[in-house]
Amino acid sequence: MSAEILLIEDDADLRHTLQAALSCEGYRVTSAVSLREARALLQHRPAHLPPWDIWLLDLNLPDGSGCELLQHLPSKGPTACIVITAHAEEERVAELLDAGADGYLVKPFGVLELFARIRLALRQRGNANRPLPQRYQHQGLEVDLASHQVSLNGQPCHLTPKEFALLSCLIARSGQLVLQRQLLSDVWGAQAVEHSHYLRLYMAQLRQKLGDSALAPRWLFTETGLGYRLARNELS
Amino acid sequence: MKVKTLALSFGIGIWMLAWWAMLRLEAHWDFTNLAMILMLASTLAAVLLPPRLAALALVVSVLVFDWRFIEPKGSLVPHLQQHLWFWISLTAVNIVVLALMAYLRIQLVRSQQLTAHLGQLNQWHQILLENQNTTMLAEHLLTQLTSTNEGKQLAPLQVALKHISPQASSVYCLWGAWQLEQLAGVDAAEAERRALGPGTGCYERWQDVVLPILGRKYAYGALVSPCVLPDVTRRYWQLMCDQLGAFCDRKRARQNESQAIAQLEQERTSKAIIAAVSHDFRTPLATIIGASSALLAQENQLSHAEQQAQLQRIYQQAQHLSRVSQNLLQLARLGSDAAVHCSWEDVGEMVGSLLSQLVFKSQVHIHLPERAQLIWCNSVLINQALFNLLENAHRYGPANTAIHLSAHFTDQCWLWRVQDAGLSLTTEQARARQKAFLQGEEAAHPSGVGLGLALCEAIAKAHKGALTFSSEPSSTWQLALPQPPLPKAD
Repeated sequence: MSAEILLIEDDADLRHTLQAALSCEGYRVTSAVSLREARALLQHRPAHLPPWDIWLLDLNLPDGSGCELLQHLPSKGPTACIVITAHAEEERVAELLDAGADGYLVKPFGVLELFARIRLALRQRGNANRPLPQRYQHQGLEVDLASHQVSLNGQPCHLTPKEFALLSCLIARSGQLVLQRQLLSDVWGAQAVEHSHYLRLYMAQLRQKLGDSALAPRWLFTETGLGYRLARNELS
Repeated sequence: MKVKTLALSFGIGIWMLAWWAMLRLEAHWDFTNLAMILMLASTLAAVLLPPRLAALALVVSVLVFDWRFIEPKGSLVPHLQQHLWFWISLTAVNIVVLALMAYLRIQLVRSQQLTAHLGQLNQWHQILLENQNTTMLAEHLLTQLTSTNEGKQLAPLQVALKHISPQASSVYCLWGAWQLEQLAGVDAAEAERRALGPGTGCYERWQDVVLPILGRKYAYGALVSPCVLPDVTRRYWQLMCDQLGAFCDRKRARQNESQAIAQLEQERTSKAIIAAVSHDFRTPLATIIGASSALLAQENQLSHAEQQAQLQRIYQQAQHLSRVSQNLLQLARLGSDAAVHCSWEDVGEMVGSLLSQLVFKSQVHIHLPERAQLIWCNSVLINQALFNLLENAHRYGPANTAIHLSAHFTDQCWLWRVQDAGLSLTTEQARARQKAFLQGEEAAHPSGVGLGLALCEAIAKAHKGALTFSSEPSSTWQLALPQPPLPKAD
């Protein structure tokens, strides 16, 4: 059965365009033009119907911020939320992700990017209740988190504890953006969140050991001004 | 002090010498001749002694003279009427001489005081010329006034001075120990535009003397003295306050002038940006409207391939429009003097991320240091600046030729260079375009690159760097970013 999407967007042209494109792709779409209408739809959803699979939520709505609706989103529930925003600063994105959003789209965006984000969000929600991966595999790179083993095309690769900790953080959220503040905090501690040079230097070392390139990355992708993304785990 | 004591000693000495001489000559001289010695002593003593003491000495002397030398001796009443008239004349002449001397001495003191005030005013004028800081000037004023004896006696003085700004301010900076109700006196003196308090003829019952600091149109505060001021001192201090008021007027006028120039500059830049934005928006919009209207009107006449081509054009121009709006937004943010957040970034990562956004990446040749290098910058802004420079080279440089993007570190500075194969601009044209755009000339951006370049320039400035152009050997834009020392590895 195809996924069901709740689209909350006040701009009629964009709403119709997205609705048509999503329907064309096989998604079932219900739309709302304001926070009030979205709340009404959520409250009066018949009990026999499952919750929506995806919320596509515009932040700037005529009767308030879309962030208010994020409070109604259960963190471990089956519904994923993708926020449509006009701002792509790290602080803003971090706020949205902390508030419970599963992803974001910065205006303007193309439908191909939208479809990719929806697929990713659905995968993540599907994996949300599963335990953290113990193994990672992608294009010849294999990592066993339990035994701290890393191999590249079958050859063992030695990583320092910090490099391994960095890679582990990215593996835990492979395929997703991990903010640089999050990486610094998880690997070096909360006091190091402003020390971006640690991250750059260790990421460069990690790339060098894995034979990855910053110019044409295979595994470690840079999201300018935000953080890093590890290629999706082929085992998930 | 020493001069005064010396004069007093001499004065007393003269009287003693005169009396010694008169007593010695009593046997040989007539009392009329002795009276000449008395007159001489009285005149000289009037010069040297304080007026009251000189008068006392004179009165005592003429009485003793009458008692000792005029017949009948040992009595104050002369027998002969002509002796009585002689004594009266002697006393009158001495009093007149004493009065004249006292008058001359008062004039002399006043003249000395005026000369001192003139010197101080001149000094104050120099201080006003050399200092621009009003806080310092208020302190200078207090120092100047309390440096004199009269100032010391009349201390402690207080000053209230308003913050000088183009808009009228009502916030005072205060020097001295102020009480809240004293500020009412300052307000009243400003409103009346004259001194008030005891001895001023205005608000005589007010506890302090308040001298307003007045400009031509505005009042800037006041000088307050808790003591009644002598008329001359009050006038002199008011003169100093007036000079300070004139200085505040000049400072305010300069501020207004600077503000007006800045406003004019801002208006010209705004006009230039609006003109550039209008141009940069209209060009892609024209293609979008043209292509979409063609699709709507000629749907049946166009082949599937032609329809696809039109849609492709619409998509590309919409993407371009999106970048123009992003540039505009960024320029507005940088223009509002918002602080740019910088962090240490990896040069290779920045270029990798930039390449992933380029449609024409096969045209771009990268030249970077072999090892990973750190750069202190805002990666989002530098990414946008480099994207603009690369896109300009792609759009306006020779078609299908290589574009070189390089980065190297030299003299504590990262130099990013974007070089295209042709001569899309000469150095003069590029400089003229940059300069003209910033000065608000519409003709400066005929090809629609004005906004992108203005943003690159703003980004460079936000990083305390510079954007420069050279046409040798081919069109090259260079973005120089000064760097702090590298952090120590822990």
